[in-house]
Amino acid sequence: MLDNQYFRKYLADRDVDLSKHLDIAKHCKLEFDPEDFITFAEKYRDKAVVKSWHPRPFLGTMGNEQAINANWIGYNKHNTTESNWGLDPAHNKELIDIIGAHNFETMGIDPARVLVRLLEYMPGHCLPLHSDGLEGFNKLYGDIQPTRLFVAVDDWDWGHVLQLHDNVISNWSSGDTYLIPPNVFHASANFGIAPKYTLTITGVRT
Amino acid sequence: MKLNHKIHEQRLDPKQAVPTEILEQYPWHWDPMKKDHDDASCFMYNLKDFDWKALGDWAIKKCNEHLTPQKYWWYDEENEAVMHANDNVNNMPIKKQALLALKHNTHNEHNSQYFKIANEEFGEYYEPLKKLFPNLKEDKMGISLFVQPPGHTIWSHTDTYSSFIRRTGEAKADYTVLRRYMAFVRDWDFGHFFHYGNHCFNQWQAGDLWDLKPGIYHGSANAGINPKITIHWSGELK
Repeated sequence: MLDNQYFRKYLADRDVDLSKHLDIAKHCKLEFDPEDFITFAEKYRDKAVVKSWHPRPFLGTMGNEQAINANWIGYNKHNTTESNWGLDPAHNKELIDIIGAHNFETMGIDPARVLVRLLEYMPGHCLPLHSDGLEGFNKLYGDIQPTRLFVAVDDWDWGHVLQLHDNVISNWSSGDTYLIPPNVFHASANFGIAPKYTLTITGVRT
Repeated sequence: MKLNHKIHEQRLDPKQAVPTEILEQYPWHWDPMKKDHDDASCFMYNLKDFDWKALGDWAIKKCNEHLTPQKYWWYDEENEAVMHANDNVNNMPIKKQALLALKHNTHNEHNSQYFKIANEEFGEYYEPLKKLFPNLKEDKMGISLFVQPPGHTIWSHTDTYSSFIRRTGEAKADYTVLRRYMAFVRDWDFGHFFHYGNHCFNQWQAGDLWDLKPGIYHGSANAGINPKITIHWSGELK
């Protein structure tokens, strides 16, 4: 039924092995008002990028290969739809301002070389297992290796989860921040009854 | 893709949708931010004396015979009915929780599918599986195995034993005597999520057995690449 041979080979070719433990610790905690992000989302709802998992011409080979593999095993617009804001330079600027200079100092990220994306996942939708292609950041700042951070906007709610390699991240508080190391496979899901808001911050370390 | 409803400005409180008798009989903290909880104490032990690999492999083969997940949840707008596959469950105690997930949210028939194998369908496995729980009445017991494909979730809920009620034909459930146990059939894998109250499971092993005490909010998801398989025993305590 589930022809996952291609995805399994993709992982095996990259030596992705769950039996090897990866230490993940909380990077820092940011101080902000979550309502500012929810208000932002509502203000610019009609300008959100609404996307689901499928190959796209502006993704790299890696991103498209992962999308094809995900589609092949049943991921589609009905279970992977995400609304996000931040690719528009004006939105990026506004999100940087909401986060504030003090938080960039806490994270150790240069606010002048950062891409902030606010992600909204509605219940029933998930982000399938993947590693990051960083296409959005590289388009803005060139082909350099940035740091990728996950930030919880809201306090944790039931059914909101993130997995980083063999770690399940949950029970977070608003502002909790985790580093997503390069090429580490991760996934997330929302099987609760409230929208899940998170930030993906991709930037250069100060 | 436009939503069928507005995003709720205020948090939906799932407790309000749980049958009163469950809330009264099984008080629980109902606070997702509570840290000093004992929700993980429902872990019992690892059921070692069973060939879980054989059962898992058999279950997948059985699903492959027809390739159609039998179960999924949806809201029938036209008839204002909560549907579990082809069953109208408007008269079942799960209704209010289902409305939160399906009518006032984005869970639907496309992201809630699972294969189900139940009771006599287990064939030669049925008797040995029944014998694992001698504390449940044999004539008031149901066993079901769920195969959850990637991309699907079982929305957070408290058990109301609606399927069990349908099976036994009883008018109303007596939650004081009903119990559900759950075991994982395969080891944990990428993208496999399960929350039981405020405890989020990680790296479970095949055979890990949990006492799903009534009244605790729980749900699961599969954002990985392999099916997630669980088996459940529901029944009346002797």
